[in-house]
Amino acid sequence: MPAVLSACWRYVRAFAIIYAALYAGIGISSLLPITIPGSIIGMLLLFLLLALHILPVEWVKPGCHLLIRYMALLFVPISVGVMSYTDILTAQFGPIVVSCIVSTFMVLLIVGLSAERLQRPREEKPHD
Amino acid sequence: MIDAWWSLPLTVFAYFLARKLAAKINISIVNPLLVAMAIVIPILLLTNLPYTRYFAGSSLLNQLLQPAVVALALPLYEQMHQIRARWKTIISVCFIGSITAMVSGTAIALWMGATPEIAATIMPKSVTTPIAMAVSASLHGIPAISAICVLIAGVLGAVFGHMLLNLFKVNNKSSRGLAIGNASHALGTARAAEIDYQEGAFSSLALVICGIITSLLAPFLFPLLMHWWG
Repeated sequence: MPAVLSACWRYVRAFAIIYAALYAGIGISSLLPITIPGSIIGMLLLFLLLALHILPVEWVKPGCHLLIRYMALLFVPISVGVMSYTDILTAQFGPIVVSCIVSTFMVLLIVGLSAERLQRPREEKPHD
Repeated sequence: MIDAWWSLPLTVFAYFLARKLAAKINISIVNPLLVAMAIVIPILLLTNLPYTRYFAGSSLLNQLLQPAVVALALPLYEQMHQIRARWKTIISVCFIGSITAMVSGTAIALWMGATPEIAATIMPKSVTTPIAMAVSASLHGIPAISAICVLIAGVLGAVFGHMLLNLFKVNNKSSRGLAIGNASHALGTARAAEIDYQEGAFSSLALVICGIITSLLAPFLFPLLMHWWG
């Protein structure tokens, strides 16, 4: 079954490249004086490799698509962790929970509206 | 890994059930992540299984988060021409967003009676978990609680972000992506990418830039805020 084998090979190759970028990122981050996570540096590395056409996009596409499509699933285990902090969250409800809620909505609105404003002159929006 | 046999299938089953439900019921609160949490938490409570065992069993999924962040390079690359045309807007918006996130979170917390320790814990809540925990530790906050604040910010953006942006007529995909990425980091990005690929790309861009801005500025901004507060 050559079709199945080649599909497998494409996924293996994609994941090998993604992990190589990740570990290179982790290595670089340990050398930096400020704390930037290895995964973020790995993302920038992979982006550079793609942008400079050193790496063909097709090589990483299958793995990237799979990971991005189901990324929310990967957050389930951490998110369930809320259940073990219920006492501190209820005791410090105002300072922790309320400030996080208000501040998050402020950021969403301020960024959304200022991005719209900054982009408006360049885009055609005759009826707005 | 001993608990993987029940923890992993439970998580995957809950997630896909939640996804199906979310596709059918088009209300923002029926969000795949939130519904999956609402399935898993009661099951753990009813069966008296401790969270630590559940988490250990699902650690494989948690480990995949790191390569998933690396994978966000693909949408960034695919949107490169869009990004190049607007990089000034993108940088200034992320700068505004990061400052707003840090100052508003810390100020509201202090105003509501937070100790300096809790204020430091809340400051990095709008960036991705690994950065937030590192920043929190460097400001003498509590990293574990920072992770919870990051989670709250993320879930809020993922669940209500699009509703709020619709309400205020933020219609550009790039603006929407930037807003979600600024406020709700990777969790919001995961949701944005589910809804629209281009939105996901701008959201991951904001996630990266804000992460870097926050880790650079927080060590200076926090003492300044504490000084003003008195």
